[in-house]
Amino acid sequence: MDTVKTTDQLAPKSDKQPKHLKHAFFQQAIFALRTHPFHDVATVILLAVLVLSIVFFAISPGVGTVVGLGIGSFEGVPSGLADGAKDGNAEGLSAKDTTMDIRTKMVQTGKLEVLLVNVELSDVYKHGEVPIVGGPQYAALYTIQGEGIFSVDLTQAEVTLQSLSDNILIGIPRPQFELYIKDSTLKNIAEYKASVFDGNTGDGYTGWLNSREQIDQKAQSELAGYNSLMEHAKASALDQVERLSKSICGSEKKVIVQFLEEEDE
Amino acid sequence: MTEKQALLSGKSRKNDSNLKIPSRWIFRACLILAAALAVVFLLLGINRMRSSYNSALGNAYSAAYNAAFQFAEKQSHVSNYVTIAIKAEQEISRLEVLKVSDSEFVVKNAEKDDSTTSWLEVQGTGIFTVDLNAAEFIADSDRKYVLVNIPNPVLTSFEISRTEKQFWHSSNSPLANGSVAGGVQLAQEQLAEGQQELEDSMRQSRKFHEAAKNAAVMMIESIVRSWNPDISGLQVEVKFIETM
Repeated sequence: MDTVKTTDQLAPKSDKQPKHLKHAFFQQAIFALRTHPFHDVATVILLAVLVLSIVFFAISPGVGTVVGLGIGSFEGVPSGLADGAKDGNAEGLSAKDTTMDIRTKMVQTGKLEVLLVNVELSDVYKHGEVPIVGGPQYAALYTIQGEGIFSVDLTQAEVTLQSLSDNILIGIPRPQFELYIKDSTLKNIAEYKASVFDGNTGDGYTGWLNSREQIDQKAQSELAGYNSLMEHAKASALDQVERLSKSICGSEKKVIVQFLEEEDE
Repeated sequence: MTEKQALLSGKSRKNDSNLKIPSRWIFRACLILAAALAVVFLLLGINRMRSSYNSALGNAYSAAYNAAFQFAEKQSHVSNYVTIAIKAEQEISRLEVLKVSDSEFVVKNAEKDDSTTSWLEVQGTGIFTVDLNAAEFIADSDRKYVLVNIPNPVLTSFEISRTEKQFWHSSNSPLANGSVAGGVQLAQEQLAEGQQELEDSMRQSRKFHEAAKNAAVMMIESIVRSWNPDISGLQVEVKFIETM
């Protein structure tokens, strides 16, 4: 006969539960589900409601959109179209898109032009590529004349009277360069046109306008950085300002002309 | 059945307080937590799917865009090889007194393509100058007076500063859309015409001439006074030499 122990004897005095008692927990949980249906149905319903509410929260914007689109399409679209067309027509005819810009402008300037350079630009222009066959859609050789001018801004000049010697010291800024290209002098020396796939007028038009702008900018930059021309311009500037100062100040006064950058050195 | 067996089967209720069995509310809370975690993972999964979809879509778009861009650029590539020849250099002494700007509309049809019409706005800048080599300075130091005789200002430089297509119409049909050569020729003709019209307009403008003369007087008076800092109260008179 097995010895029957009391629960005191069965339960250990320490806090740790033996394994068989943890196993008992799950068995009791299942027992609770089977023996107290009211409470656990409530649990299941609660869980179901929670899950459904979370799902609804996630899909509610989509549901609302679909329903709104459906009802809106039936009721709102016809009236929206009619009202929108009427108002849009009135807005378009209102001519609010009107811009103003004054193009005629005059600005006083005080630059002394000291060196004039006549230049001729030769341009080999190529446009596009003919598919399969290869080669450009259009190519041409042009020449165009231009004038480059080196000038000194006299409004930036600094004039000082040397107190000890009564000399007049005129400091002038470094010459600046400006290129003026004359489109009316453009000559077409040679050209090539593809017999097929020769492109379209719009592309050729845009290509030349953009080319003209690029030629202007790059020729300006190239000539302005050409040392030989700049040295000649600087020498001419000193000479011209000295001659002018003798006319203005009188030949009895001594005038010293130099560049402002040299004064700083 | 022994007590132990009864206890394990859940039928014994003796001395329950000695057994630390968690309440059914803890169990319910675990169920709720598990449900919430499931929802969180579902939402995270949807988000990851959406971002990977967008990434794949973007990569496909980029690859197609790059291929089409390179092909189209090659088909419409424009190049210019420019050489600059310096023909002459000349020392001058011209005083710029007025810079003027104006614009002109040039309307033209393409020569061999009647369906193409272009309205181009050409903006230009002109410079009025006074030739100081032809000027005469007469100074009277006793009376503190300087007389300056100068020629009338003239328009000596002009350049097209900007162009803007205000209206363009051409055929969209591939069989009647002209050619690159036609477009280049049309652009060159409009630029040349715009330049010539603007330059003539500026040269003949009485308003610009009067403004240039006034500017010349002010500039020369200012230069003469500032270059004679040792003479206070210097009087400067500027007169224009009338040319035949």
